[in-house]
Amino acid sequence: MVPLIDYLILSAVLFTIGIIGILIRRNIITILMSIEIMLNSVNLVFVAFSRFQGNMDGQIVVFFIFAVAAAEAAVGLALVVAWFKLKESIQVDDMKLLKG
Amino acid sequence: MVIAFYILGFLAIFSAIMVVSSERPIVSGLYLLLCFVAVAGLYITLSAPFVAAMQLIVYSGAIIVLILFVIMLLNQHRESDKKRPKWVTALSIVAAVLIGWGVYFTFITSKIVLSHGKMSPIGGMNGNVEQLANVLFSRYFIPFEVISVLLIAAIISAVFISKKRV
Repeated sequence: MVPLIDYLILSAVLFTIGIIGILIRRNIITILMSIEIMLNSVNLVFVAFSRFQGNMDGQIVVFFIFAVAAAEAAVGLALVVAWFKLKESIQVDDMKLLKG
Repeated sequence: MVIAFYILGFLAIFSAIMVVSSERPIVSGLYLLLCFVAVAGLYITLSAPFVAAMQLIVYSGAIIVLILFVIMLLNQHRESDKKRPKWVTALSIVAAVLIGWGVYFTFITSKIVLSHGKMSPIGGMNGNVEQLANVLFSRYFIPFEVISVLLIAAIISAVFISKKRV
């Protein structure tokens, strides 16, 4: 039987990969994908704790995180499309309108 | 069960690394699909079939289709010409690994992890959906209804943002 700490280590590795993706990529769609990877790793922790404690509340929280992730993807990609119509670019280095 | 865990975990980590390191966004999107399917398999090994089905429908169904649709709509396959300096990338990776090490250190030193060596006898594969529904429609009924308000706000804002006037 796989112990709980293995699931947690796997989740920490996925979370680290997501942070690396957010920091090193310049393409905003890849950055949104890295955010989805990080949300998935957090979901894995919730389900693992729910299973090992015999408590269903963790899976309910995962259900809510699914809804929030879907809303985040829809609004984020709408912002990307609006920005692309304005500037013809999806590189985050071009996003400096507020810099003056 | 142990073999399935290691295969799916390796698959998830490998596809996540490919999502981050791939140069073309469309390849990243397809590897992201593989990562979601591997995580859904991990939910099955944790005997949570309802969450696994939700993962396959919501993530690998809806969100991947949305992301691939936007990638193909924008048609930006080239990277930008101007590169960041090398040391910025190296410093970013070091910072990210430090944050991840902080998460790992918190996990391995917490007492609650050590006290749960094996899976609990309750909450198995049988009757998972019934137990979930009992909790969801009793204690979490108000948050469940508030989710619908969140989703309709997201729909309205997505339509409004992507209208012609920016």
